[in-house]
Amino acid sequence: MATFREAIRSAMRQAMREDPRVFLIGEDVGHYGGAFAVSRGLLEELGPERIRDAPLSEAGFTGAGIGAAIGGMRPIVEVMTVNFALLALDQILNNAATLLHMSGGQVSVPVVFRMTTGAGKQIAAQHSHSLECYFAHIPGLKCLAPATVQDARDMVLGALADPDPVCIFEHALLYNLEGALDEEAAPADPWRAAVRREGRDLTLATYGGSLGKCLDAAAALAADGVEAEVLDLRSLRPLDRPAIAASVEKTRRLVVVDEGWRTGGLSAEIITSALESSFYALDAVPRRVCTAEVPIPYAKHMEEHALPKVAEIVAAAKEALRG
Amino acid sequence: MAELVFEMPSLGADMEAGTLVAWRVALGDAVRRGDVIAEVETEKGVIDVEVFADGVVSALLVEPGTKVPVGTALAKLETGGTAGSGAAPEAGSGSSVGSGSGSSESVSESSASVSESVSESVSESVSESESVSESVSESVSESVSESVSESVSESVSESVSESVSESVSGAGARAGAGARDFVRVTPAARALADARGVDLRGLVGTGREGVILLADVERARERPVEATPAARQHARERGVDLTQVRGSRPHGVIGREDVARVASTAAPSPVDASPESRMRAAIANAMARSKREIPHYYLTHTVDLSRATVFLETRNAGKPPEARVLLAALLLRSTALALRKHPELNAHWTEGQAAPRESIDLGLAISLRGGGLVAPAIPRTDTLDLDALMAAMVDVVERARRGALRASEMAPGSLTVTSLGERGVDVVVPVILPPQVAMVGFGTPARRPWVVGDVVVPRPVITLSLAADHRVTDGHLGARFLARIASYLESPETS
Repeated sequence: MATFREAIRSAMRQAMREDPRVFLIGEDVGHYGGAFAVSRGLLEELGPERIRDAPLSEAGFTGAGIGAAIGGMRPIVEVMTVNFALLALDQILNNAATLLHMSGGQVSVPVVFRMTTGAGKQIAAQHSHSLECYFAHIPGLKCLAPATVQDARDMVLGALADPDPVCIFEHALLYNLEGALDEEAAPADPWRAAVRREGRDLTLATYGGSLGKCLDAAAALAADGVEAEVLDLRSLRPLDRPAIAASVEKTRRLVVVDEGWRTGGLSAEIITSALESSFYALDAVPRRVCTAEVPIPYAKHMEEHALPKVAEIVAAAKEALRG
Repeated sequence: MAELVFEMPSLGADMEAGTLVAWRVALGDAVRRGDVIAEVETEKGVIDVEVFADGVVSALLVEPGTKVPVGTALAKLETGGTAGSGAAPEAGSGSSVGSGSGSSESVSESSASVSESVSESVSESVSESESVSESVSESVSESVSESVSESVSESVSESVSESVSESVSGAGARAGAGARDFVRVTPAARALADARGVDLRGLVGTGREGVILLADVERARERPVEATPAARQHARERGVDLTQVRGSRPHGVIGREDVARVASTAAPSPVDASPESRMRAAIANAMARSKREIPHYYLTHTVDLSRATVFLETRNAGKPPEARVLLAALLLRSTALALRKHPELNAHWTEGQAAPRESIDLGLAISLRGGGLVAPAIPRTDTLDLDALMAAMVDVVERARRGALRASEMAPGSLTVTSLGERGVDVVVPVILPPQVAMVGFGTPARRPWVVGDVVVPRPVITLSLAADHRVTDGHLGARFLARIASYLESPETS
């Protein structure tokens, strides 16, 4: 057993030991051990050349990581949260995601951006949003969202093995999640969705921090005789569209659970994909459970109220059973 | 959702104006590229005008009879996109004409310049101490994003409000069209209903607000039609298909009033109309349904009747007229015997599949003197010898013309035989009488040049025709069936 946090640390340690090109750069990743303590102990273990504290400039250290990747390294850039990654969005979009294209295929940018996402820790609007869809919108970028301890490890290794820039979105509430971890296993293919629970009546499609809610909802639905299938999307770009189609065509009903906002969000893309592939299989209007369209509130009860809840997922699923 | 203006086209280099003669579409109609949507009169005559895009007619701007210059807006189409469920953002992306595109350009320009200034101020803040710089850069991005959203909302507000009003009127037109014939049904349920031939209008949806779900269609497939005897009789009289009637009695049983309601909407025949017009309405229903639903295929085959003629002459020699057997009886018997060999054609198409019938009860199309047509069945046609069959035919024709047919005879038979022999036509191309799956026609027997060996000789011949339901059989089987009838006619003594 290990925590989600330990699984990421384990993967980074393994990668740095096996490949001298890999290093970690970011705010407070060294002496402080990372804002979410993911890299705690790695500085002592691997030294300051591999674990590099950067000045407090997202654009600066992200650009440094991109430059190092162009120069042949395999950097892992930790951005404290996706909210601050917006300051580095110019680097990520205009350099990391586009250079392969603009150089006619000559310059690839094998950099990994790790960043925390999501709400639930009462750290208010500027630290709590789920902005994955901003990044999943960008061609040339790949986006992963681990939801299990094993995926937390496997996706770091899978992202490092990829020749393109990859963003990994780590939900803040998952760091203490405990689960089985096989540190010897060959990393699972990160680009395929995974069915976390089989069911025939409807599909709950989700990713990252909402997987646990969906599994809880599926358990509650099972008590009422409804068999929900829980599909963990894992990769947000590219989306595993065949997996979405296969599940929806089996269950004929789709509820997407996404902690992002509804308007223009990933849930819209997922549902559209299902409509495009499987319209005639559907026996219900696709539904989505998303975060309320407000900046995430600080107050605990308001924050809870704004986020997708198990009861809402159950209610949406039951609605879907009625067409 | 984009809107397209359909203009008076120039139908010739010298055309300056045209008169809209008629609309071929109504508000809310879906049209496809290439559809004729209007008739326009020019110096050269009335010309059908096609539309050049797919869409839904959202406005008809010119009344028929109006003469307008080339280039005048005649109609508006909504192209692409889905029904406008809401709001300004959707509408904002829609209208791509005139001022709309101009303002959206200015939006993107202003936001671009703002984002540059953001990154500048951010890079400035790099040199500052860590804790301060974060809050500075964040507050900068905040205040900037506010001003961006303000300037954006200002510059687009005009075009948005414009296109909103457009999309609202468009939605109204669609809603009007939808109310006409719109069943709320899930895609999966619709697909199954299509595959099984289930009429969705006859189903009761159990979903939210009456939505028809997949399970509702599955149940419809399983449940046989339940109707009162009076309803069944009325349905027969009016040519109403009971599978398409929604029962209002307890447990969905169909009552006479349900049939009457469907019959009255299916054909414009008031209940107090004359028997003739009621019959016309029934024929209209049955034939319209036939041509609407049944994929007919047609085969014809010409047969030498020499031996049949001699056979009948020999048989009838010395008998009084009432004891003679006419060719019609031989035709009917040959058909009945051939049908024995090809039971696939002895079926009814009900609830999306062919249901085989047990007995062979050929229907006989009888035209009535007052106009109209009935097709009573002769029970167990294949078991009757020629004399019995002749007697049955005489009896049923006589009673049909007297209006004294029994209800049991009006139940649809195996397949119907029609002969327009008395009218002199060469070939009948039949229209299948639902729910039957085939119909046989006989043209007029006539003397024609016929090749026998290497010689052309005059011979009495008749052209048989078959119309059959391609959902049930294929032409190969139909051809064998016709050949079988022909072989009986060519060797009448064996039949």
